[in-house]
Amino acid sequence: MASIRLENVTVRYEHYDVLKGINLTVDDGELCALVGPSGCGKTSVLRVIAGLTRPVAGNVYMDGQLVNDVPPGERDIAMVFQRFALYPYMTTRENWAFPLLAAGLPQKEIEARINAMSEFLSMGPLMDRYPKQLSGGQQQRVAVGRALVRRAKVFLMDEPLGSQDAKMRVEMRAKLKKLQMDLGITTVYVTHDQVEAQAIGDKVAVMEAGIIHQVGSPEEIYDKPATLFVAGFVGTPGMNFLHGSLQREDDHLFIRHPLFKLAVPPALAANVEAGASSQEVIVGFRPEHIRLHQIAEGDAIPAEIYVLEPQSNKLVVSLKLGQEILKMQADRDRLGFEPRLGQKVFVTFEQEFAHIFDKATGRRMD
Amino acid sequence: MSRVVLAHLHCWYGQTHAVDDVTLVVGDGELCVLLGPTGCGKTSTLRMIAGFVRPAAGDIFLDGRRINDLYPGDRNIAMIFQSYALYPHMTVRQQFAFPLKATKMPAREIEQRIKETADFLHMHEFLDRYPGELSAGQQQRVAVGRALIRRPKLFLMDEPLSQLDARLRVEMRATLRRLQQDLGITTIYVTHDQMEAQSVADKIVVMNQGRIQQIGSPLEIYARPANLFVAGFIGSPPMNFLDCRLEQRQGQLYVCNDRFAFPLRPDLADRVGRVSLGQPLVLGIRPEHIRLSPEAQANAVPAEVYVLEPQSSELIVDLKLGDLILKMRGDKREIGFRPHLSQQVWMEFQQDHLHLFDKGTEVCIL
Amino acid sequence: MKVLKRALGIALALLVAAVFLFPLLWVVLSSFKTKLELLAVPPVFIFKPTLQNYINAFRSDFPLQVRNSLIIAVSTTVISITLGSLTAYGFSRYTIKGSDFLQFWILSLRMLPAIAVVVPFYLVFRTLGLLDRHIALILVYCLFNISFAVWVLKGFFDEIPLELEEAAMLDGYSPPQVFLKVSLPLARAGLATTAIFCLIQSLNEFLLAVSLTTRVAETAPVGLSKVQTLMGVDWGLLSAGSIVFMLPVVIFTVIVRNELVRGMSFGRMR
Repeated sequence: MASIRLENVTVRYEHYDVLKGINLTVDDGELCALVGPSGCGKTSVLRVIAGLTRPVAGNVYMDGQLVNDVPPGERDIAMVFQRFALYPYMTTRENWAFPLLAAGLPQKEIEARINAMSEFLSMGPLMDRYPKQLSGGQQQRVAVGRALVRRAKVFLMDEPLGSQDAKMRVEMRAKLKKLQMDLGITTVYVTHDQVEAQAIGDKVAVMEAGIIHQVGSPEEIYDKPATLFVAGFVGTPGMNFLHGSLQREDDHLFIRHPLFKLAVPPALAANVEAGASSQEVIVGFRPEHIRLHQIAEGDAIPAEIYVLEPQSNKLVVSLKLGQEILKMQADRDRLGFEPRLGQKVFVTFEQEFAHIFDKATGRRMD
Repeated sequence: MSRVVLAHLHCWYGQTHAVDDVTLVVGDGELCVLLGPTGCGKTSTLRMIAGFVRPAAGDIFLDGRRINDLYPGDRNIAMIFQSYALYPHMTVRQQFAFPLKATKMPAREIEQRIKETADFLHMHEFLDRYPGELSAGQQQRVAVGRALIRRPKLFLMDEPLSQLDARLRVEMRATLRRLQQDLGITTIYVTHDQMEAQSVADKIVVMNQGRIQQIGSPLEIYARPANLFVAGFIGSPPMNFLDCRLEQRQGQLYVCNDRFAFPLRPDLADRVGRVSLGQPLVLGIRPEHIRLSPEAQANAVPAEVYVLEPQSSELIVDLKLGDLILKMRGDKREIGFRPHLSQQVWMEFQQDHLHLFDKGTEVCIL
Repeated sequence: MKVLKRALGIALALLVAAVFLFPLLWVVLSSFKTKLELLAVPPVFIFKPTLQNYINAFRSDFPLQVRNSLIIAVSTTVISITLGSLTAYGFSRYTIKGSDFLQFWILSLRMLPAIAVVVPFYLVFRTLGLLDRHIALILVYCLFNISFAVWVLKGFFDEIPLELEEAAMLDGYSPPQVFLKVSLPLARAGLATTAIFCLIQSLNEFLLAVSLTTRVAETAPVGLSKVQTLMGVDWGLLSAGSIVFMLPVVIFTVIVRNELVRGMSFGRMR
């Protein structure tokens, strides 16, 4: 059991900074999901924690102790790779025994641990099979088991579900999460899939180009994205962005867009105005916070239905408002009508769910 | 204007019956998706239509003309390949001109067509680049451009979005759908991704082990799956399945197993009346059609909260029912309470969306 | 530390280069020396260069021999590449009965030691009246080089994704056009590599050349070997001849060097 802390960690390959002074704390027993597009540096974070990559600057602490100079083998870390990296010529049992033999454990102890783990992962008949005789999901369990029998303090997983099909990923991520909770082992989980990160993480860290944009619970990341990047990266279909400018009329602060005028809630107005670097802002609305109407009401904006995409019980509707294409999403039976392609409709925004960003800095403004 | 008819198509690879009696009509201007897991025969079907593979039996008609014996180049079909199949030694301009040159089109007209296509796809600045110098998204557009510049009778698309990252894929599928509707070209589209299939298709053909399982609109496939395979393949997380049987109690038909029993609504009971009581059945209920309640309800099934997976504005709750894990999905705001781990909850299955399958034949009976 | 490492690396590279390039330098210098300078001990490195050796070489049969060599080597290369690429493409793209056996058989021809076939070939060509004719050497060289070309080029064709050819088929091109417009251009690194090897092999070959030609079709290596006369070896002439003989290959290699680098690494596409 351990906590991990990275302090201003910078990693450089050649002349390129892969990590630009990142800070991250993972508490004891927590599962932290690192998510970002490929090349954002998330795997480098894992490698730094594992001790496989040495930062050019910054410190790595485990349980409050500086471990910069501790070699990987002495950090007591177990890692699961995307390709599992099982030894193909060893059975499950042998795969599991291998790290224990390396640690010089007595035979009896090894057997006891393997049997306990076999029961825990309900491996039973799979113990004497070779990796190629196992399905993808079973291989993954073997890989996880091999990492676990070592009873390491920290668990690092690099896209452990990367090679599974969509259905298996959904099933396995819940199992992994449950397993991690039961064991209470501190875990850092790397994925490029924001859906997976939300589902599995106690805490999600969104990365891009060597920096961490935001660390928070899945709800925080989704409901209060700190930057434009996080807002656009998390959630599918992605957030709709509209460019507007701040305007004060009498006592109220508004955001003016060619198509609409949005009143900034008074509670936020002071913050927004104080933090603005210029008048230019970007307003974001999630697809589920856009409402469709057949009849004009109040300040509804006319739009045309551009594309219809059924998604199970939901419908994703692309809307053409002037030159902009927005996507809205709703339960099919809540829409109240069956939209048709090319139909003229009216759009309103749920203004209390507006996300306001400074155009120049990309930062959230409230 | 074109219509495709496949009549009793068969294809063998050695001992494998890759395509088994496929009969299908694709109407003029329709987008038909062949959907299924790897090895279900969807790609083989596509390759037979393209003319790369000769059917072992059966006929292929394009506009009423049998094209089985036509050379691929004489069928007036364009295809977008999974890998795009862009010629690495040609610039975008040359790629566009390539199919036109085969038809001995005069150079002036070729120029004109290239210009139109580039306008349409906003590709002017890329015309003189090689594929290796383009991003994945741009390559995809080149592939689309090369296919439509010939104004073919039929579009074939083999996993055209699989090379793109998740974000771009969601974006491009709407673009592709709109494009196809604007052009009105009959299209046959192969994918293994059921979300993508639902979102682009007029008509979905679900295939498994070489056979067609069901043909229908995205809504039909989702709401009225013909058998267990289709039910389990469509939707994410997939439908929950529970073994059960029907019993007559106090004049009412009950759905029950060792852990629960609830009465079937009378109108539904009438529809399954002919099923002999006590026969092994499978109950299917989608995650979005389970209602959760923190307090005991009449006819609700008790379960334990096992894992919580936040998913944007929704929450997926894994529920433990004996040895089974069920998933429910709902809008965070609408679940009505905040489930916590290990909490005892009660599940109510929405009977409007309840499915019953015969366990032996796997056919849907309700 | 880093600088030292780098300096050491450069020094090592220079040393290796010197070892490899010294013989070449020796030949180049020798070709510009007079007989006396050639035999001087210790060897002279500073001298007044003379073109006499080159003049002598061009006054002898040597130009004819170089011409023979080039005719034979270029013909061999063109034939080998043409037939080799067609055969290799066939093996790569079509299912042929006994394909594995045929490929092994073709490759095994390449392993045939030339010495084993010298006498039979001599007899065959004497009967056909082809001794001391260009065509005789071209035929024999093709035997070795086509098998080599098939073997190398099949690897390159295998690397070209089938989908590219299928796309061209749908675009309306016939199979031969697909081969010419898509497959062949994409295999050009392989073609360049194969061509260089064929060219070098046919230019350098000695044993068959010396047995199957006497005067009319005599090749440069054979001719140069005869510089060893009763009066000893004319090293100057030999050096000048070697330099002239080396030029075509060097020039060709420089022209196709980019393809060659990709070809040598059995380069993936792009």
